[in-house]
Amino acid sequence: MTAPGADARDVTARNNIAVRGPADGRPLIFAHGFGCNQEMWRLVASRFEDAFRVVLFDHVGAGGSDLTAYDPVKYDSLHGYADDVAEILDHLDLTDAVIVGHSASAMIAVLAARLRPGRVGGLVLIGPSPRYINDDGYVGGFEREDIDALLDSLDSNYLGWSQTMAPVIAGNPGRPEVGLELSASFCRTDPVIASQFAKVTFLSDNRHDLASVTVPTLILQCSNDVIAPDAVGEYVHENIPGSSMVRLKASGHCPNLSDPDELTSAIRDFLG
Amino acid sequence: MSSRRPSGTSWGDGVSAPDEHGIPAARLYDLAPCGLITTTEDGRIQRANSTFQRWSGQSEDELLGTPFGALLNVGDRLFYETRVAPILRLQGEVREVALGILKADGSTMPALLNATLDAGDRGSSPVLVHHALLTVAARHDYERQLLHARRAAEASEARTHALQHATEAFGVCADADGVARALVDSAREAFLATDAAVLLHGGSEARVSAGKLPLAASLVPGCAGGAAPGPESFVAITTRDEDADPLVVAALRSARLESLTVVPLVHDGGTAGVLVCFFARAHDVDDAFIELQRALARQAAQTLARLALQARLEAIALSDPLTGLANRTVLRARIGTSLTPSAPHAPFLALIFVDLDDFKGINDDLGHHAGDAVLKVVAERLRNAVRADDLVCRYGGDEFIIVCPAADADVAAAIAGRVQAEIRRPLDPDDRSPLTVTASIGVCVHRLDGSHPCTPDDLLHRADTAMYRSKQIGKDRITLVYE
Repeated sequence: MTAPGADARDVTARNNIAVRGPADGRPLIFAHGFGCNQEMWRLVASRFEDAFRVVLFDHVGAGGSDLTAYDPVKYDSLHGYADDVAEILDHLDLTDAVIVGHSASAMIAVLAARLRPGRVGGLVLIGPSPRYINDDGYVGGFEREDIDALLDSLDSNYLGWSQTMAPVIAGNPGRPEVGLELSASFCRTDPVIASQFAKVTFLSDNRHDLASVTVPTLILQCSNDVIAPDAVGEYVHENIPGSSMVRLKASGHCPNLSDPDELTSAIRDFLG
Repeated sequence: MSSRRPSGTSWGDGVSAPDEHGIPAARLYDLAPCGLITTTEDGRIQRANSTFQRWSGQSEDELLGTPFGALLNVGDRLFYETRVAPILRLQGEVREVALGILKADGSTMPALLNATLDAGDRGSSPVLVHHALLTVAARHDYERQLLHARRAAEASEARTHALQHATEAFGVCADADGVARALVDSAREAFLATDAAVLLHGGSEARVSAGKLPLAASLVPGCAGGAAPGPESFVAITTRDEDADPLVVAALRSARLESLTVVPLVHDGGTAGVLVCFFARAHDVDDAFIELQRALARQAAQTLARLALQARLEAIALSDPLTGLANRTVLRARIGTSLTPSAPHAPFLALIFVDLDDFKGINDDLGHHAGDAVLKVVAERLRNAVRADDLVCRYGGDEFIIVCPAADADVAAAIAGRVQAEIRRPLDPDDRSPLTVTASIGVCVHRLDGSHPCTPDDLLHRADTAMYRSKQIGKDRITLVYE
């Protein structure tokens, strides 16, 4: 099932894959969204390492991935990223895997599940949105001008980004373990790649792909999520056959950082 | 009001007490020349100073409980929630983030944000985030102008680069398929096309000359044969078009594609083919996009026209205009290359010299026009009498030479025999008084084992001598010499 051209060793380095937890545990793949990298899961993933085979990775262009593998043609749609997830599944020879996809990776997980029906056994979609832009009768939450403004904002903050890319010396006093583990690759990003990933994330339309999901799917909808508002979560829930939806008390778009406890128990409940 | 302020934080009862210089801390906080906002860990506003309230046009009551992201214009909200907020939580602080604060009157106030995570007193109190905002209106406008100017320059540079790159690639193309491949490569690079194909129109057929069509050709406009698309045409179809052909939409979706574009390869008002691009994600098809596609397609069409002209000129330079046979230039080159043995089992090279008998009489009696007609017929018959690898040349007036690689004496004699028989046939079988011609033929067979080194001129001389011998002893016959 290995896709052509995907050398096993290349996949590990390309996507900076880390595997933890018992080898015979059910595979749990955490896929980060636009804006950061696998660091997004640091407060959540470790809580599953007791019983699950936890797989963390960076999308190409993010974090510790191999930037030389970045092909602007391949990664001009979410399909390119989904192909990589499929190759990770092949490479680790995972079956009955659950993909936990946050933000843009929720749709990447949907596409990957269709590519590897024999390997994916469930999906957890956190703050999913199949289409950010409002469209005739569909509420995505944004207009096209808003996305252009986001791209402006990205470009205006190039300098700010180089600041945030610097290795952190002072620890985070609230969670001392956070500061210690941060590496030079912390949320680093190449501005050109970030700009393209933003376009791909916020200009894609994957509404038609939702109906293709056949595995048990949990949709986690945060409160006050301005990126993926309630109406969008409900749309995803209605269009993925047999999906269930849980509303989190966690506020904002990143419950993996703002309320890891609640997020962890919601995922645990789904996994049974 | 006490519910606004979380208990147990560092701002206890002493916040309003003056410091040693007599300045009350609360006054400093409220009137600081920057906006100060404190939020919970998940971003809901707990406190905002008077400066920020004044700037934003909102009272503290209106601000309390609002997510910080909601203070921002929508584009910046996306940026803040997906990028800034995660980094703030993971890293503990962010510096100099350029954002736009939405004011109560609907306008946007550009600001720079510094924010720090405050874990409270050894983790026993709730985590808070302190934000400081500075207004940067004038600077912001200037930066936006720079940004847009830089974008315009980059877009222009990218277009120039794409065209330049294509020009270089087209410049080294040897044939039409090479041009098609170069155009596919250029299009994929310039437009990030997931797939691209170039179809060249030969007659009524459209053939995929490079790249691939992920859809059946019958579904792609301009690819299904029939009339070539007009020079002004440009087609863009996306799966979101309501009036798009449902079959095309379904085919695009099943190929994991969202859109396609078709642009004709136009030169001198004619259409040589089409460039088709397929996209996994529908791109904005604006004027710049269309113009660049047209420009690349035009360059490719010009290159195709140049190559066609070049091929015609080469053919003219290397062939005899009357008969279309190869000329002396080609003959000498072919003998030269054939002197190197290429068939080890048959290390021979034969030349057959054919000279028409009494051709001058035909010219004199019937005129040059009839003479030319005879030469054309003979040329055609010689072509039919030889093997596929043999080369027939017109050497001069009524002289022809055939180069026969790997032909020993028997093979060469057989070819010469067929040549003789073909020439003897009546020139016009329908004519009641059939005109016939004959030829004196000389064959020279050379062994390519290095034992008798020779030059093309040596071989031509030997074949000529053999032909002359045929002429001398009565014409219409074959003389064969070999070493």
